[in-house]
Amino acid sequence: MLMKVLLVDDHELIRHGLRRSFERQDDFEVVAEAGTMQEAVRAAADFLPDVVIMDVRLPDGTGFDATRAIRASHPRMGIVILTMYAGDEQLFAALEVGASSFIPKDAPADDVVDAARHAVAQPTSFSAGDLAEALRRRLNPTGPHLTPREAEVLRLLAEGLAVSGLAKALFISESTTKTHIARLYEKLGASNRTQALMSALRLGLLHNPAGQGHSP
Amino acid sequence: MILPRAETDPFLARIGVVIRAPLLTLTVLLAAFSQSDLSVYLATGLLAAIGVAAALLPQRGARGQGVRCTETLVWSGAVVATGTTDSVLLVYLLAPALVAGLAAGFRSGLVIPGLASASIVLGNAALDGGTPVADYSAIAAQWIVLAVVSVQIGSWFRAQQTTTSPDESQAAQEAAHRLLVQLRTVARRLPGTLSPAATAESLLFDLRRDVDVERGVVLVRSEGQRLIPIAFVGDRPLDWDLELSADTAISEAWTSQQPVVRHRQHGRALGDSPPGASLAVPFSLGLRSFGVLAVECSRPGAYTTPLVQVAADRAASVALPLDTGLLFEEIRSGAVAEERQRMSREIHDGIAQELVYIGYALDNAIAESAGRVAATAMQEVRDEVTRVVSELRMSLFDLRSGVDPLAGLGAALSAHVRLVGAHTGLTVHLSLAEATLRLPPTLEAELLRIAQEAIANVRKHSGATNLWVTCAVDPPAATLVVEDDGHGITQAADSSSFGLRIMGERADRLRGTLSVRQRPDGPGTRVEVQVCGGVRREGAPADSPPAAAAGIASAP
Repeated sequence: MLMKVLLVDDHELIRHGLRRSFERQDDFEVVAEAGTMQEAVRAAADFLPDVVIMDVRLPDGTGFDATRAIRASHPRMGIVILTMYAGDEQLFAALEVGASSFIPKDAPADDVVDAARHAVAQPTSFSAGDLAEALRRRLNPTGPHLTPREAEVLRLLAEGLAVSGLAKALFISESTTKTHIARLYEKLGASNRTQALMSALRLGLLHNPAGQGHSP
Repeated sequence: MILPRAETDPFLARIGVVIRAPLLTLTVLLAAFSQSDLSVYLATGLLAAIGVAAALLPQRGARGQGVRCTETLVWSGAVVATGTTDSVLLVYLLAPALVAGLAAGFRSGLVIPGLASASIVLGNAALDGGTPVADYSAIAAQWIVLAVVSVQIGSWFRAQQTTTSPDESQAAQEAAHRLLVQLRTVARRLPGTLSPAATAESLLFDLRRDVDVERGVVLVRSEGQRLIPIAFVGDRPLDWDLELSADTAISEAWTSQQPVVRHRQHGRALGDSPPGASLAVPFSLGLRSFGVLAVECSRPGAYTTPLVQVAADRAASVALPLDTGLLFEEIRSGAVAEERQRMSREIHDGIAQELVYIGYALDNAIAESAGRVAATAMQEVRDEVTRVVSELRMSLFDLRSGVDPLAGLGAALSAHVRLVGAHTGLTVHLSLAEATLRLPPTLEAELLRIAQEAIANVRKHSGATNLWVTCAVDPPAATLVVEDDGHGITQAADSSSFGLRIMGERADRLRGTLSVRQRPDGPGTRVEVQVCGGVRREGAPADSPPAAAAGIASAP
């Protein structure tokens, strides 16, 4: 039994190239093509493909919207999102609308075919080449970057020093110290010392007093 | 604006009827109810006939004017015939007068009252034993004045009607075209520059000659009711409280639109304001403030009334060029952003998709020629296509990304650097030192573009393993440094000289300096942009040994 494929892309050339790649396999059959979001949703209902290859940018909407619409009525259909756009937002958007897989358009056609096969087998799981890295980036958001001086000010603040004490310890004037403190508060989104220390602890900045910035 | 319109204007044809009908009805009713003899009915009938004819004939141009003149002559004949001063027909003069004002404008419309007065005088003189001059001139004068007022009202409506006619869109387009032509002419002829930062800077330097200024700053409004500094003199950093909700001289000047003098220095963001004197002068045009000039010094009482006046006059004299420059930058950056979106769409839908297709076609060809020698060569081409498509995806990301007005330059830079780290083998080190204050949005956008370009050069040409991005912002100054440990500029400079030129142009627009040179502490390249003299590193004097190697520097 052949796996039925629906190709969605507003560029005929791309559909053509992918069609050849799928037809070369002996377990796939391209049953329909669509160039718009509306056509895609209709074709998914009419042809009940096993897997949809979905472009992100469509003339009448996005592939994400189309995926959401298809997923609502076909929970077991495999959907592979194919995109030209870079950036983690795209990947997480695909995850959110219920796609089964996410492939950038610079990947070879075989990757698309493999992703389609995987999507048919496990339509409700999600796979993407960069998924682990993207998740790691999202879990460790690039928090505020402190300059070495600010990191030092933070450490001294945590030790409970007053502004005058800080100024002495750092050999700088009190007004400069105050400026550093103001910037530190701003970066940490705090309006007083307690808040600043709390958010610094939460962000892990206090375990790393040298700061995250490295100078060459 | 007067636009050519068809001879048979439906509006004017209708107005000819709409105005004449009630006046004619009124005249006929007055004649019917007055105890009149046959001559009044005859004259009224004649006037009604000419009135109906005039309403149906064209109203525009010379023919319309001729019709109205005839109508007026018949009217004055009828008035004279029915006893002039007590004639019930006097009121009808308003009809040709109003229509004349509407159809021909005020000046041409005046012909009607003029003709009416002349013909009444002549008519009475010709009529032996007519009404005494004193009697009829008093009454006639009232009606002539009314007629003149009618012409005026008519011409005013005409002006209203013309501006809101169906030609409105064309009128707006013509106005826009004229404005843009003027803008181009003005922009070419402007003495000096449109740059608001340059205008603001020269204001501060000029002011310093007459007024005691230890620190001075020109602030302009940005998104979200924030004031941002665009020019500065004196010691840094700027630690003033610039919140518009705070009780400071600056916010008071902003709200009251009046100069404000206080007997201490400006309020600090942290701690008390030092003793001395401060002055804040709003920049306003019309009813709105768009910025504040704020200066301070440590000498109490330094800002006397005459000096405040000097500062206020100077501020007023640059308000217009300053706001013009700000508007110009806003328009330009809007146009640039739109153009970048358009380019991104074009690349995305055009060459990028074609390359992706070529990639798939190669994949198919390789699979179908499996095992043959050609497959190896084709695979090499396929790898190259993959590289180019990845490159295009990065370019699309660059084109589409901008500085979020809420998050700021630092957030935009770290998002970009994160993507670069994810897509390349580079280890990225980002160091941000942003002040609580923000730079103007156009400047933030330009700095982001320079960083993107410099990083793209590192990615493509340097062969580096480490990338350092350092950004220090202390408005209105900023320093951006992009360094790598690759094989240096000698190889990179040739292939990326276009990129270097673009960066130079961008730095020029910021009135900043760009230097590209060997990294001081190791192999690799260092690209540095300084705006407003750059942000000094703590404890070190301005960090700029003159461009050592093949550096290019753009003069401010």
